[in-house]
Amino acid sequence: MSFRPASLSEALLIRKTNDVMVYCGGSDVMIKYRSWSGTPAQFPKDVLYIGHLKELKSIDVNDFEITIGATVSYAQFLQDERIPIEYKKPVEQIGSVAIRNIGTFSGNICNASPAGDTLTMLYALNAKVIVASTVGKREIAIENFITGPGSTCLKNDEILTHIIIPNQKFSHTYYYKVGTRKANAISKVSVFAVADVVEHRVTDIRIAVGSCGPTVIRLKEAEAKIIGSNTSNIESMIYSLLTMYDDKIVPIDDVRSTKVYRSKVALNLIETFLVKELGQ
Amino acid sequence: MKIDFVLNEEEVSVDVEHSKRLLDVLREDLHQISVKEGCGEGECGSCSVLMDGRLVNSCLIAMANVEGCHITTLEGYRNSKRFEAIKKGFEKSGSVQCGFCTPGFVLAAEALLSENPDPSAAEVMKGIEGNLCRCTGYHMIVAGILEAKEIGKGLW
Repeated sequence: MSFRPASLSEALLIRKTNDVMVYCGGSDVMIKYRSWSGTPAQFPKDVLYIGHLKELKSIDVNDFEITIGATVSYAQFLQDERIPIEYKKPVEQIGSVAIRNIGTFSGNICNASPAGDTLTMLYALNAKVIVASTVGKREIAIENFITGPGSTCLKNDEILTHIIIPNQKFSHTYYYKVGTRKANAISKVSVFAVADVVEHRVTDIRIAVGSCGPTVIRLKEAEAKIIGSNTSNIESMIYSLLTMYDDKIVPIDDVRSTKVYRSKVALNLIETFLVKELGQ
Repeated sequence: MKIDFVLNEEEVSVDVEHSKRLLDVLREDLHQISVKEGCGEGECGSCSVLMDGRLVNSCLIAMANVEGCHITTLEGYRNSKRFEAIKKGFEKSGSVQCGFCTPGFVLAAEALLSENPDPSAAEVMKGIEGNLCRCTGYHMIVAGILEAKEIGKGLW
């Protein structure tokens, strides 16, 4: 059984009365549940298709927030001239041209892979998601929404409808993804970081590390230690900072990489950001 | 389920499951055999088609998302002047060897040139990043697309 509702309210009603999985762009689930060539994908549940819903296909930008609808593709995000160019960096490295034409932030978030390529940025920017049901809406911080690898706190009657990114300018932004090749690579390690430096003093800093634990990792105690420091002092603090990160970075060995490699590279990237980028 | 869409400028209607792949419907129900299945997981680009003018991997599209869309395959695209330019560019540069990936590369070239009629070599490489070729080593395909943009100047 499958459903192709004409509106969000119809979709929410279907979600409430049926046990369905939500299908948006399909770039993850069509691979996960693919079957033999020539046969339909074998989804574990009935499917609720929402990718066509126009009411979720827009991006709103004001001075405070960027609000991205659930069915907005990566390509649509990249083409939007109102979006700061720094926020486009992780997105333009996702998959390939064809994948970016169908893939969505909402799918990347609900798929909740520790390697999700939008997630490091969303964690670093303190993004929130809005989930809706027939009875109302909830606004949830991204770090609370994702509860583990492949799991979120989305309830069975809810649909993620919007992603909200605070529209804030930073003096420094940094993104680095390590993959096997440039296109169509699932990250081995990725780091997205932002900082504000005013007269050589760090007033804000956030560092998010992907593919190095069950969820994206952000160490607020390390960030708090850096805030207030003079950029010229960071090099002298680097050893103790990296030790803090080393304790919390817990990658695994898998088909894509090893935990030793991932830890080393993640720490190198953090060091590069703190010493080379902020030191300049 | 009945799905109505436009294939190469002609309205078509198919009765298939929502979860069937666009790739299978194009090949098996609508005989668009330029659309090739390579990896079946969005890595190789051999099943590329244009969906409302945008490049997509037809192996990753469930039919539910095709309702009302315009799909272009090489069977339709080959009747255009733009195709002639790409064909000449590819012929001149030796961009085709075994040919399995070629329909995907031609449509990736169209998607690129329709967005950016004068791409640099680096931009061409980015435009074909999702298409794999195991014969040419890519240089001839990049050269073919650069050649095509000159031959077809003004068409995009």
